[in-house]
Amino acid sequence: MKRSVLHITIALLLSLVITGCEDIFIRELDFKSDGEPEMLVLSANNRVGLRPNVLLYHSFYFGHAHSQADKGIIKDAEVTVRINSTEWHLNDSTQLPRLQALDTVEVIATHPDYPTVTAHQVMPNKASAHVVSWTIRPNYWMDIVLEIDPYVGNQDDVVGVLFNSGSLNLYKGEKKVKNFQFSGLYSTDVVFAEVLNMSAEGYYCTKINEPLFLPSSALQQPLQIHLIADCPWGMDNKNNYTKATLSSLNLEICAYTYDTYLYWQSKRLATDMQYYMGPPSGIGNAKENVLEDILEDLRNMLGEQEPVRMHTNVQGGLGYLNGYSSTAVSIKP
Amino acid sequence: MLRRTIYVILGLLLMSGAYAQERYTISGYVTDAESGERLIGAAVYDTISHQGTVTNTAGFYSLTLTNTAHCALVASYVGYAPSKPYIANQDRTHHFVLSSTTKLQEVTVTGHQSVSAPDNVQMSAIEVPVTQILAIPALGGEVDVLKAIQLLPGVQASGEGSAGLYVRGGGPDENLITLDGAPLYNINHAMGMFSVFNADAIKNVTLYKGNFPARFGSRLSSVIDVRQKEGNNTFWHGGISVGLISSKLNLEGPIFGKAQLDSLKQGYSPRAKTTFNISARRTYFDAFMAPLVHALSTREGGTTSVWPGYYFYDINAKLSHTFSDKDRITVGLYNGADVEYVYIKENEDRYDRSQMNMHYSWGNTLAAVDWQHTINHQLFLNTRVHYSGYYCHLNQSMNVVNGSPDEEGTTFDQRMSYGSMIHDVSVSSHLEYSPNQRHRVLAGIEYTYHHFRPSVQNHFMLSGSDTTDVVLKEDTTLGGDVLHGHEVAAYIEDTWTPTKWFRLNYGARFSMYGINGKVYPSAEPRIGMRFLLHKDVALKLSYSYMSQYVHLLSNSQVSMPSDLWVPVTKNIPPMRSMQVAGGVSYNICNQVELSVEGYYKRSLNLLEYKEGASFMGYTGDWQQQVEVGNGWSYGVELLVQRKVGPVTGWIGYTWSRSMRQFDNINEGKPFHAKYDREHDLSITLQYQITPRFDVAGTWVYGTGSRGTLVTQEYWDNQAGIWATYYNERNGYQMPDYHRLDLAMNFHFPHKRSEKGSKGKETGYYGRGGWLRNAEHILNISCYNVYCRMNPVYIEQEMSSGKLYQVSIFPVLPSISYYFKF
Repeated sequence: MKRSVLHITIALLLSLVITGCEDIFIRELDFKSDGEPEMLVLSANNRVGLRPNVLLYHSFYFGHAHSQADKGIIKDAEVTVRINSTEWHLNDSTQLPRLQALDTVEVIATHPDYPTVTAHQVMPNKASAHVVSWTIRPNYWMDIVLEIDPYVGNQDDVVGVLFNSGSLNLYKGEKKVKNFQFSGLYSTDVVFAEVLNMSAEGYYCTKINEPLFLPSSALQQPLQIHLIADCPWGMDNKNNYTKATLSSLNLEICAYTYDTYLYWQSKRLATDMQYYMGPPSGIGNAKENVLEDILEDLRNMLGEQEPVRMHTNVQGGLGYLNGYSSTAVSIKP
Repeated sequence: MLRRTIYVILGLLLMSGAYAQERYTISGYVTDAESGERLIGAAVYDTISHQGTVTNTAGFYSLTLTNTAHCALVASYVGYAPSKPYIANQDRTHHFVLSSTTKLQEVTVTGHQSVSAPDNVQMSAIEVPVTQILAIPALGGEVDVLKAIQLLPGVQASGEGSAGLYVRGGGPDENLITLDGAPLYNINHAMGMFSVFNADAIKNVTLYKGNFPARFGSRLSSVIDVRQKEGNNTFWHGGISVGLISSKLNLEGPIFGKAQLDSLKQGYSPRAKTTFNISARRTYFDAFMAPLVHALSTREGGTTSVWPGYYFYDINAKLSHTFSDKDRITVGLYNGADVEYVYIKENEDRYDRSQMNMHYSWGNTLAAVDWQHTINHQLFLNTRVHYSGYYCHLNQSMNVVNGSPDEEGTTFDQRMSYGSMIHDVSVSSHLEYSPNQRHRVLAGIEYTYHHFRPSVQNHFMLSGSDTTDVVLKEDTTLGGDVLHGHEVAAYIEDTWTPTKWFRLNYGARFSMYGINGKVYPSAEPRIGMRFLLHKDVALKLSYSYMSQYVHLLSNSQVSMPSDLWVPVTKNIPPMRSMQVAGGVSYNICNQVELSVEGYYKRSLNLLEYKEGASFMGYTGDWQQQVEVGNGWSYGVELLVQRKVGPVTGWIGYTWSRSMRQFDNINEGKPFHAKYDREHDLSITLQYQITPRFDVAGTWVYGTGSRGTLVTQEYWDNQAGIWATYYNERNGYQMPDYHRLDLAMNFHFPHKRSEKGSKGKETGYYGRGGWLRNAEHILNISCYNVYCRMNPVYIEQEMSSGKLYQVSIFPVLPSISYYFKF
């Protein structure tokens, strides 16, 4: 009796094993929209001194496959731009005025297929700065002292130092052999720690399209900041450079609304996982590649990244109405 | 608040003096007849005056009686026959010895409840007999204490196969899990598939979900008090088990002195003053897997050799020595770890070679020394010193050498390590005072030093060539700040029984946590009351205020070695919670207990990772990665439990909600907690068909886990990216979870023990030899019998717009063999 129970049990278990070995570990789920409609996406990047511009797209509901080329642009929406209570309807023939600091801009877009979207923004004041000094060090590091003028504007605004371009001419003897393009500028000034600038080993970094933020509350008085540009190949003995001269260095001092700052942060997190940022490239690109690859593997294995939603200041839809002012600062030898 | 609480407690104690009349106190221990183990939570009851008490965690009881010329005390405990009455009329020390009913009656397993639920003022607490835990079907046949607790109402598992616990809407870090009174930080092996508790070493498990006695603190949601076996004081016993996942060894017994050895030679069976219990467990997946993978990787002249492996182990030990009736010292030890490694070696040719090694290890070490001292019949003192440590080390190294004679030779050496660790050292003293039959007072003080090193990373790189020597060298340590925390706590609680129908447990815990010059004080009132509506029906109410000074940062729903325990700081305040609960408890025919409880819990200063945050690679301050917010949860729990009889088990059902609100997450709107599941049902039954054959089954059902899904995507022209939009954090609910597990246990007495002893008549191993009560146990179990593919996580494929659920456990039969002697 006991033996037969045992045999039946084993046979039953074996049959279940066979059932379990089918390819059923991954199964597609039916994902319903729960009635969530696609939305209008407003994109307006407005700068003091330029005319307002508005682009409109529509979002794609997850589950509705689409090509990457189809960005969902919408051309037949009715767009109204209101600047300081004066209203314009945006069409091909409309000539909008240039935006001034502290202008209030409101955008309303309607389309029969989507809910109406609205967004508004107060344009920031102008921020400005000048170069106090710059020096090329013997190890091909370049020190720049920049003085940012006091900011007069909304105290919630954020001032950004933005690297645009810059390079060193490298010589062997008297012969110029290389024009080295900087990838970014670094700073160890603690003022940058007051907002969410990412740091590694105490360095805060600005690269092309990635400003280094500081709160406007820190600009009640003129503020001197120290920036470093570096040439990692200067450390390589094999190249035997003998001299370096500055070719050019172009910066922008921008004032952003606080919304814009939040938008930048969400973009950083969504695209680059910028809670981790490599150390300055001067210490070695090779290291960045190897370690970042390993860290990426570990990240994938050991922890999921929390989901990131791009910041939006658009009511009724998605996207972003940006407002900023910009002042160029250049260093030329 | 503090002063008022003290006045109330003192006033109530003074009131107790009004009742002081002619009185006497009986005290002592309740022990198991066979092993000499002291029994925790055994009832001692006077059948004349109908007054009673229960033994504490040391097995000690003290009962003061007044207005009764004589008493007739009876001790009882679940699974044991009640003792004969002990008659006394003055101060006495009396030790009760109880015999297990399974030894007395082979066919019908009977027993008695230790304390009926309606009689006990404590609510929201469940004691799970270890015998039931051992019989519950388990994944891979690996019996697990925490997985048994997951089957109780109010407790939810974190995911398929995981030992993680979510109690009444709280996170996994809100559970105080103690082994012999010392907290364990990492309770999981194999990323949460198994707990660190080897069931062979466990004596007693009690879960508190609310109405926390004042002696417990430092966590918001639950206390799981696990006690290790101390060892048989007469005979040596042990067991060896072989399963698909691990093998275990257990040995326990007495350590005799000279006089006892002489007594043994004369044919007696003395009780030793010193006993030990040691258990070890190790998995051996690596022993089969590593050689197999290595052989496959190197076959047919392959240039790459791979040697991967993973294992975990636990070693539990307990040593106890009884100096006298009044003094006893126990030493509990635990060490366990997970180790994962991959060694890859590649030899392209004689000149080019590379080697990559990855070695990860994480685990706990714990030591607890308890001195139990009976001051007099009414006063019992337990002084404890403990150490609890947790570490996580992840090491990777890579070495590449290119040395072809035709080219410039290069070497590249890179190493990276990540580590985090915690060390706790604590000293505490706990006093138990039974001044009369109306009061039982517990008071204590504790000091704990916490040493945190949450995250330290080291990068080392050396790159060189034949001609230029070192081209690049980097040796950097990031993070590694040490945080020193000091936690001081004092508590007092009293169980007051002014009338037969009303009993009150009230008290308070006062604690302070100091770190980096910042001190957080906390006064935590606790109160629980019981109204006996009928001899078998009680109404219970409770309120608990709790504080927690440590947080667990985790990105994942499964337990990962990378999960970081971090303390409160100047910027991160302690978590707080207030919980109110009410319920009815009904004892049906002294066989089945039914309880229904409702609760509401409000939690403050909870932590969540910020959007986009991830633990690894972040070299800055972890505080910048987290948000502080609040939460609330509420629910109703039903438990029907039978602990005695041939059919035992329980049915637990929970309806609950758990919500969170953070200013900077989900646009400040409330959202569901990750583990918020509306319905949770578990049915756990065991049936002892014959003395040699028993079956057990478990069926669980739960609403699906939650996750955050992208619901739309759009082209962000300014950022130049396809941006994703999710409508709500944790807004997506996975499909429902359900699963059936079955197990059968066949018990075969060892032939030698059946036919009578052939071993030595006397000796260390007692009368009858080593194999006196030996038996073979064959366990056949099946996890997920009907092969329900429950989702573990959800994958979104953006390109196709499809959503997939990923499952990991189909039907999994297993077999294990246990030889017990």
